[in-house]
This record gives sequence, C-alpha cells and structure tokens, in this order.
Amino acid sequence: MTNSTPAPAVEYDEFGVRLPLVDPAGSVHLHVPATHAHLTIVRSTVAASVARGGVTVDDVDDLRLAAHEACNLLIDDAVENAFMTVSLLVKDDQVHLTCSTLTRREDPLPSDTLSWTVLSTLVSSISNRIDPQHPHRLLRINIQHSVQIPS
Amino acid sequence: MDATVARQRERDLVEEFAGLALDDPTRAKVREALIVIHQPLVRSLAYRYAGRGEPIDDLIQAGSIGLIQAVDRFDPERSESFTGFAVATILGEIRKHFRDHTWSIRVPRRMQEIAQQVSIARTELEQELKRSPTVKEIADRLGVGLDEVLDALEAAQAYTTHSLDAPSIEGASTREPGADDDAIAAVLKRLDLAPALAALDDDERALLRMRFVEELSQTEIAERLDVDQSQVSRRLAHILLRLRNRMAPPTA
Repeated sequence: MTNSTPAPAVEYDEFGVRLPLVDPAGSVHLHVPATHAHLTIVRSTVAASVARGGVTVDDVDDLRLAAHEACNLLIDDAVENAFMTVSLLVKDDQVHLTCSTLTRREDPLPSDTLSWTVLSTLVSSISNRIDPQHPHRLLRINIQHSVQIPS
Repeated sequence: MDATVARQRERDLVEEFAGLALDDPTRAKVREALIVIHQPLVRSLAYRYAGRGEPIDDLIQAGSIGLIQAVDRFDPERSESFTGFAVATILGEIRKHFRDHTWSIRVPRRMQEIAQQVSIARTELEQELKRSPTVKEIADRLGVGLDEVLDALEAAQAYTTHSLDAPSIEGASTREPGADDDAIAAVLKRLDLAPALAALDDDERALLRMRFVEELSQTEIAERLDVDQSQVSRRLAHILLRLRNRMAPPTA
C-alpha cells in the first residue's frame, strides 16, 4: 500500500518518552515497569539485541552488565509505578544505550558512587541528566560504547 | 583455658610458625596445632551456611581447606590478625564449594550442560581467534542456536548471585555448641570486604592491588600484564561489580 502522506517519524508515550514509529536504523525499545523484577528482561533483551549485531561475547557481557547497573540506578529513585524505557541502537561499531525513567531526584546522579565508577569503567562513555524541558522529571542515562565487530 | 590465654597462645603459635624455616622439623607440629585450635572457627562459619542443600560435613571440609591455606599463606608482616585472615579464606572456600557444587537458582540440567559447553567453546575460540568470539561463532561451533547460547550465558551468571552471601539467620538448633560466637561476630563485622576479596582469585586480587594500592593507571597495568587496556578495564569492572554485589544487602 502506498501512502501519500509520510508517516510521522515519532510518537510520544504518555510520559513524553520519544518513541520512533519509523526507524531505518532499527533501534530497539523496551518499556517495562521500573522494578528489580524486570531487570532480567532488560538484561536479556539488551544481550540478545547486541548479539544479533555481531559483537563479541565480551561486549555482550559488558553491555548486559551496564544496562543492568544503569537501570538499577534508575529504579532506586523512580517515582511510584513508573515505567523505564531502554533504547538501544547498534550502528557500525558503536552501541548507544539510553535508559530513562520518571524520577524523584532533584539533581542528576552523582559520579562518585561505586555504581557510577563501575559503569564508567565498563563502557566508553556515560552521562546522565534530568531533562529540564520535560514536563515531568525524566532521568536519562546515556551510554555509548565502542564495540568490536569481527568481519 | 580463659579467652585471653587462648588468644595469647594463638598469637604465639602464629609467630612461632611464621619464624620457622620450611624444613624445620617442628614446623609440621606447630602447623597442626594451629589448624586444630582453629577448627571451632571453621565449624562456626560452616554452620552459617547450613540448610542450603549442601551437607554440613562438606562445608566443614571446604572450610578446613580454607583454614589450611590460611595457615600456609599467612604473613604476619602483611596482615595484622591471623583470625581475620583465616575467616576470609575459610569463607572463600565455603563459597567456592557452593559455586562449584550448586546453582543458586534452579537451572534445567540441559541448560547446565549447554552452559558448560558454551564456557569451554568461549575459551577455545578466544585462544584460536586471539579475541573474544561472537555469540554466533560460539553457536556455530556447538551447532546450537543463538538463543540457546544467550540463555546459557545468562544462566552462567546464576552461579554468582548475592543470595549466597547473605548468611542465613540461624536459631540455636543449628548453631555449633561451644563456638566463640561473639569473638567471631566481632571479627566478621570488621571484615565485610575481606570475605568478598577472598572470593576473588589471585589474578583478580593482583589486578585490584595494582589499580588501587599501587595506583597504576589501566594502561600501565596493561603494559605490565602484556594485555590490551580494554581487557584491563573490562576485568576491573567485572571485579568491582562482583564485590559490590557481594557486599550490598540483597535487593527486592
């Protein structure tokens, strides 16, 4: 079926999280309750997604741990009944992983905790911020990791 | 024997043992005495892990191996208290026993087998390829699907969760009679990190020492070990995470 009007590229969910409707890059998005019980789903999904991108097992392990650790940090301060969104994109030899949730925090996460130290050791770069433009306080952890993709 | 006298005797023995040459004929006797007087410590620690599906005798045996290692490795110039050092190695061996003999969650037998094959294939491929293999390479080698390998990799982590590190709350029925519980509790309080460290292998401890005691950079460590900096980074991160999991109170 041909369509004369192009489909909107993104939609916003009820919390204002930007979810693409069309994405040629094939990113993966996971939207689950922000509870420890759902960390398993996050870990498995991230591992399966990056493994299909052809990265090495070491990188799969690292990203699985990083996703777990990042979401663990989000869950600690999430508002009641919050969802967390994990977005993942493997592009060339770069993996971009964003984890976000509605937070009770006033300020971004401090970088002097053991968790943050572990995260920054684990991946190429990591940052977090609370979106000031956002109608709710959305805490977002951005992870970028250079991976090896053997040909 | 009153507690102060007992402690003095322990200190004397430890010092005497450390001062003896390897071929000294009295060495074996002092070594045995040290092992015997610390048996109650081993039993007390083993009982902390009773009722988890492993026979208590096996736990005591594993703990005794830890005690013997502690006796043989203790260096009074590097560690202050022998008891503290022994608790760490004893708990290390008891935990190792759990790691080697049990899965912390129920994993189907077939998955255990695949997990083992995946682990072997991973090591083999690492050596052949001189890099970490991809999940697909492991799957191809074993003739199984990607999903099975992924499940196996996830299942392999069931070996090491923090549940094992939270000692069970035990009533009088399982407590070893006569054990010097207060003294041990006092030692354990000071040793939150030590048992976690004891669970690491020698390479891992060496890595932590280089990074946090000698304060070498990751690149300097990489040069010293003749490996890639990214490998150092990865191994440090894994060690730190494991330590954290072992020390943190269990979450939901």
